[in-house]
Amino acid sequence: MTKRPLVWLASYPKSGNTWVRLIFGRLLGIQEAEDDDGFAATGGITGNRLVFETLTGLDTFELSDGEIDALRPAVYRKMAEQADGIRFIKAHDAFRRLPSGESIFPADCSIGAIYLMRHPFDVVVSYSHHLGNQPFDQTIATLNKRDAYIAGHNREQLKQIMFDWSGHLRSWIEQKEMPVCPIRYEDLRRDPIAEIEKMVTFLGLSPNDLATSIADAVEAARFENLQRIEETRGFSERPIKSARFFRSGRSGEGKEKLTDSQQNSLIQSHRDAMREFGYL
Amino acid sequence: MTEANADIMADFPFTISSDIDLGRRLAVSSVSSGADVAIREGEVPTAIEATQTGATYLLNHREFLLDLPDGSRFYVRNGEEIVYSRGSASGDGDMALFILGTAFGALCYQRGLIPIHASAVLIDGRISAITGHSGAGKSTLAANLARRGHSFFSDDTVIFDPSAASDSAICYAGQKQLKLWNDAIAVTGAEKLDPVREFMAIDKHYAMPANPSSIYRAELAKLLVLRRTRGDSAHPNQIEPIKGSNALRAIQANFYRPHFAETILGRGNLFRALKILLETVEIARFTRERGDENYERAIDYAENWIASSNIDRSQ
Repeated sequence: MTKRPLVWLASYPKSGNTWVRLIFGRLLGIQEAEDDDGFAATGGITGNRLVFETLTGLDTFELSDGEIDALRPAVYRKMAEQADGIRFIKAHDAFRRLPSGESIFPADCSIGAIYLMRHPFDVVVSYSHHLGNQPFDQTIATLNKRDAYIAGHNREQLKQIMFDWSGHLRSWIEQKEMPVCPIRYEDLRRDPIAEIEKMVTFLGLSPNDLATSIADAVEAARFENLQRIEETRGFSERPIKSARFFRSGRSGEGKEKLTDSQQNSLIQSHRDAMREFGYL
Repeated sequence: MTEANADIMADFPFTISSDIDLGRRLAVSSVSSGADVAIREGEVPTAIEATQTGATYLLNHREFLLDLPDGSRFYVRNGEEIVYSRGSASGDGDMALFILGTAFGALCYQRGLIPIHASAVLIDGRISAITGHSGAGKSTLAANLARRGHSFFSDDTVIFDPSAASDSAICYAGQKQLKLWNDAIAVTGAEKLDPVREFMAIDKHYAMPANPSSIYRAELAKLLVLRRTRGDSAHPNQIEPIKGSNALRAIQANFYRPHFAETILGRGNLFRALKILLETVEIARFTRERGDENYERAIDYAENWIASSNIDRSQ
């Protein structure tokens, strides 16, 4: 029987993905090899070239996007085969399929997906800061773009095709191949213990699987603590243009900072999904 | 055989014959008969008994089997042959790339040689190599050092021969041509050659570096490990010597396809080889200031270390 240790932590960027990985890193006592301060997100990201290259023996900079995609299901299955326990993988990719019809994220080695969503107004503000104070209009254009992607080419991470904001959300929520647990960032901020409990239940984890209590893990990964560690030690996932990775984390900023026309542009593109998940 | 080829033959530890055009990148010499290694199209086994498996490959002590998504397949046996069968979307250039890449790496290990994932220049006839994970900037830094007048030794791999009778680490050039992103070719003064992939599937070309060397064999003197910054803003350039177990880990992690090494070489051979490198090569970690606008300063910094005297290795 194929092992099923993989959990896809799927989200559009800046929607709490890293935060949740850090909490689960603490909760399950998983530490990365390079982690020397208890401050590493667990399990890796879909765009990690090194993992891909180790498992394929190939140089990803010499492969086309199509070839990389074609190898992904096999890479993830191999990752699952080698995992010695549950393994969280951050995915900013939309859930999508190869030309053959096979999905890039194989269900046969996956427990399921946790889908993290955040109010698109707040995503715009956070993402703009992340990209070095990119103008909001430019970020909104990305959220509205059907074939948006990040990284690839000569960049550090592999290409990740995201679709537009609601396309991303629907690709994961509406796929039928693996169970999915939708989580709103706003709920996670308001009551992190309850939301993490929801995820723990979804994953079928028992108290024996946990290295610490949910409350302790949440406390260790409190936003203020993450900011303090980033200030003193740096954080490897911070992009070069961004002053900090853990910036505000606040909900409601988008409503204050985006103009009416900017808000309307997002609503027009994503009205149904926003309504469905309580953002309108 | 050309005169240049005769020089190579004297310097490279094995010869090859090939029924596919491998281009002019390789430092190994090609002979029409009696070659040590044959590269040929043929029947590739469907499977081998593997002690290590990846998503695309099977591996044991003496055999290596690689499958690509388009059905191209490569079988490397006993350090003596690379047999390939072509998939639906691969041209000669594509086949040559994978033969001279991963398959050649496995072949070297099978012959007791260790390909180090590095690009290198020569300083006073000795090799200064730059290593790091793919995308770390090895080729671009080496090409820039060549632009500044240093003699370019090798791109992508520097092949260490642990069996060479010497007090130092004897290495061979892997490839004499660079593989560079198109935007890096112009700024490093390199000459653009063929695309790395046929049908321009990626934006990379082979390129002749500014100051190529015709030397194929030399002592490895220095190894500079390019390190990823942790995101601490405006980190200044920093080169720290690394020694002992840290150096050992850094070297091993930067072998070409490092996870093949122990399976093919065996632990004993691997550690004997690592010991030679540790005892004879000056190893340092380079954390460079990020940002394109700081790159020339980072090259200054690396150049300063690479070109500095290393006469007294006992200190």
